[in-house]
Amino acid sequence: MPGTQELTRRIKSVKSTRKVTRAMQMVSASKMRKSQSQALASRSYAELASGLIASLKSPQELDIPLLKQFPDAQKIGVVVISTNKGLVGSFNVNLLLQLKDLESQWLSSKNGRSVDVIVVGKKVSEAATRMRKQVIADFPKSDGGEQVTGVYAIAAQIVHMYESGEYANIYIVYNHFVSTLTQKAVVKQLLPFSEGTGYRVQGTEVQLASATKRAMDSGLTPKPYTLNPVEYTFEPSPELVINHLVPRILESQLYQALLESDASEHSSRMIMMKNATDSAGDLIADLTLTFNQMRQNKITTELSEITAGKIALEGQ
Amino acid sequence: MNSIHIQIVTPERTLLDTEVDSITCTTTLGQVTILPGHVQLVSTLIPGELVVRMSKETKTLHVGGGMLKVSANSEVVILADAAEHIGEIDEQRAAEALARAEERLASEQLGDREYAATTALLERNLARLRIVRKHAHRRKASISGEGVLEE
Repeated sequence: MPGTQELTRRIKSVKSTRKVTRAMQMVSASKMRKSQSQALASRSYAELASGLIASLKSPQELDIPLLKQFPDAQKIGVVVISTNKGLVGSFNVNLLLQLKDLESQWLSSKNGRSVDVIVVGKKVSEAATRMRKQVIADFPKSDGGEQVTGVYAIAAQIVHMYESGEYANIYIVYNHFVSTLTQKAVVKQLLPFSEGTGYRVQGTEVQLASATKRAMDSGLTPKPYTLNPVEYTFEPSPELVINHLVPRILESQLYQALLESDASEHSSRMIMMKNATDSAGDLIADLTLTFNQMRQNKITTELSEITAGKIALEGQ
Repeated sequence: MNSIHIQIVTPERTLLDTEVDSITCTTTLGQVTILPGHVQLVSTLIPGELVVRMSKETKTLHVGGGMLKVSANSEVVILADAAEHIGEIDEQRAAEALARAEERLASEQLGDREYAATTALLERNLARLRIVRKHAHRRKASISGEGVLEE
């Protein structure tokens, strides 16, 4: 049983911890609001952009490297978007679980030889090195809000990888923002463009991940878009327009994933810090109760000693 | 089918999502006006003016490049890299940005990517200034109108 002094010291220390977690909660809350509104605002762009590629005419007729498929390739590429800092609960762990799942599925399929990983953010970079994954690129993640320009380098790397023809698919693993309380680690196929690439509004992302999974189970060749029979007029020419469009769509998908991940990160951290603040409060109440009981006991003991002494003196 | 449904979106926000009578914008091949019942079209936009006409008012926007898609049922989607309403353009800032871009192009050794980015910046700000200056007289008129009311 610790003494009263020990208890006061502990209460003091828990109180200062609570101050820290509360401050972090406030910071995360304000960052969360900003990143959430940013993620939601750009959803319509990402959605319309991928809708655009879906409605185009048969891409097979055109010689566009990014629309080709490489079913015989032995590698897949996976982009994993994580955070730079910790204190986000199971955020990064879930990403790694998804990555592991994807990897074991690919390696057990008939063509599967190896998985190359592109990491974004410090946390997954550390974890990937620890787990001896083949990390072929490591991109830093900016902490002060995402800019569209931030994804250009990643997009260029992916395009370069895919055009080499060594990769069957390129996936992206990130945390999808559902609500402040719920974030879900999802796997999305970036290339080749398929129905799984299509951006869906919140609530259906579970389906989205399982659609990709089902496609993977059935021989790892996701069905390409069922092409719209209606022909579009292209100005100036189909090649020019599609060549302009395809990298844009890739960039917008990446950008959206970064924003979703950002919103999820801050939400998750906010909730974590709120929990920490709450349990610090509980702990303080608990310790204070013990402290008071102990003090009361001491007073009672002292009082009874004094009374006993007095009675003894009176008896003389 | 007497109106067009238009959506103008940038990665940051949705600028317009409404029914209009016609749209005029600048594509790589020149200016086009889209009326209800337009043929299905996909085209690339260059930085420039975009005018949407509604029954009562006309809106002018600046679009800094992007994509245009006209689909069946007169639905138009504009995926702009950047866009703003004319009232949001800051003339002084655009002029400064233009001067900076010109200076960079003239003086510095730029890589391919930087060169392309700076040229794009130059074009965007040129377009902004063009639009603002073209519509400058309308703004002045509205100010004098306010003065009349006060008298």
